[in-house]
Amino acid sequence: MQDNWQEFDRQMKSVLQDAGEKVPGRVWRAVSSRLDSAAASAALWWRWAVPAFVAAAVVAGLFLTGTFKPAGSPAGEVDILAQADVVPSADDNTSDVTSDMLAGLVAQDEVPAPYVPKSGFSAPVRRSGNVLSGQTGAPAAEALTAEEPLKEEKGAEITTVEDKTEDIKTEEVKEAGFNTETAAQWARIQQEENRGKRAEVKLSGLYAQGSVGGNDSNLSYGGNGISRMAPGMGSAYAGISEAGQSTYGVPFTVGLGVRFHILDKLSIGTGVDYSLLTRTFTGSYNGNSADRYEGSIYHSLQYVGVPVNVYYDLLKTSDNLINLYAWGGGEAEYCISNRYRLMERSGSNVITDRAGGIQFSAALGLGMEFKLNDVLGLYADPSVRYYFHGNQPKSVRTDKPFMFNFDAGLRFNF
Amino acid sequence: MQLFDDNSHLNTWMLEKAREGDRRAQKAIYDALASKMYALCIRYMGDRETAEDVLQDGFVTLFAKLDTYTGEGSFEGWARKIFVNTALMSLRKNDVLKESDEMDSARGVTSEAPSAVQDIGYKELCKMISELPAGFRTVFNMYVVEGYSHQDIADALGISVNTSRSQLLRARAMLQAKILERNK
Repeated sequence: MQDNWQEFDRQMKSVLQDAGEKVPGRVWRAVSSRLDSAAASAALWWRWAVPAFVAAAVVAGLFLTGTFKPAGSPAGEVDILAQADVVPSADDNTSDVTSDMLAGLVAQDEVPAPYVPKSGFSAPVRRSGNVLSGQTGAPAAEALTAEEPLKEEKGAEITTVEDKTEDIKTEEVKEAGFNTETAAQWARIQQEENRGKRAEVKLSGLYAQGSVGGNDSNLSYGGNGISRMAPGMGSAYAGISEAGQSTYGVPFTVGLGVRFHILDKLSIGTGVDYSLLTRTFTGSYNGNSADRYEGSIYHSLQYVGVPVNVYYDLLKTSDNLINLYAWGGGEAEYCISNRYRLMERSGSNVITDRAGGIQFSAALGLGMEFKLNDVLGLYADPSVRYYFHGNQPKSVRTDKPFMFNFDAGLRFNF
Repeated sequence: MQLFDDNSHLNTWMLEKAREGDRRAQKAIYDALASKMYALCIRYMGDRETAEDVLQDGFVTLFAKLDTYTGEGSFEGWARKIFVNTALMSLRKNDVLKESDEMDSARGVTSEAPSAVQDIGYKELCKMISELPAGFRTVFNMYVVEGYSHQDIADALGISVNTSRSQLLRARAMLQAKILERNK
């Protein structure tokens, strides 16, 4: 009887184990919706974390650099003339994927957008559409009808995706047991992704920077008080002399940059920056014996620079919403304009001077990028930067060479 | 061989994508498993409506636990355990298994030799199984189809090993009776 039951069980199992039932479409829609909800919940605290991180970085910077100006403090220590503001917008872009979409897209022989690399700095070069809402490279429903029983393959060697960047060969796909259509779809998707990884040159896009600094006299370069700022303005006695402390505007920088991933988590960024440094001070100008001015002077410096930074990805959320990275690098800047405006003076009141040499700086920082949508990311890069003097005209950089910088902006990923 | 039956480079890659939350990869896994897992859920739950709920819960659990799949054994085998556990949780939650215990002594065991089942189609067989009391049905599915031992079943359902044996025997007998009735 026992043997009979064993045969009975075997027959039952053979009929039941690999049987399938047609699943109503509403089940996937419900599953997908619940996955979206779970992802949204997980992202919720990140959405609060980003503004908190930015706020904390700003406050820390103000205190660290001593530029925080409490109410009632003496005027003229720090005068913020410009600042970079960024307002994040929430745009959670997760849409459903349907088999119909797949069918349509496959019929058009479209290639899915490459996936966002697990540890990439930002979204890779996107060839077509939304990573999440692109077509499914759907596996084969027809594969379910195969009759071959399940195999246990314990001890099989597992390779990680990161370790494999080569394209999938047709033979490999066949060996994996896919039917031709499914295999072709998935192989194509991965080949696209691998190509995307290899060509991962990302335009970091337009960004704006604001550097918080001050005129802490203890850190000033060359001391305070009377100093000749523009020698050689016509005679040994000509030039601009400074009497008293300067009030600095927050240095403002805008630029364009590109970033290249050279390793999985390592990228190099470079670009072109434009910086404007301003200050006002009380001083005097001696153009010649008949041309003398005493009063407020507005001094502006404009630099064009080339930064070179190295970025290392520390953390990336599974939904690619948040990237946390560390970075370091340097920048070489050339002064293209050095102008003094003599305030409250009639007639010619702008004096220009030549500024030679290159100003070098080195920086270390942390950064966080918050993905607003597929192409747009909001980033904040608090950092410390040291400016080498390089015989530059007096500015907040020469007065306080070790500065806390807070770079923030929007990063476009193409 | 089917999708996810092995740990090929391609499958590993897809699982990695699904872990990252890529909806295409998740849909791929869903498409590969849904049909079989739905059948499994129907066998355990006895009706399609409840089975759909369990199928949903099972997939949500599966995607949440993808990180725990180490690659040892087949992915489908790992997934089946999740769906079986989800079904058992649902049965326990509704006290269905307890009701079955009470019916334990109400059925007799046929002494006739088992009939061949190969002539019976899947749908008909599935209907017969769905008509079994939930406890019998559960033990039968776990032992005969999934290959659990009586000790595993006893641990999972909170019953004794003897009860598991008894319920299996009675499930077989009831199915046997239905098959005989059908073949008359």
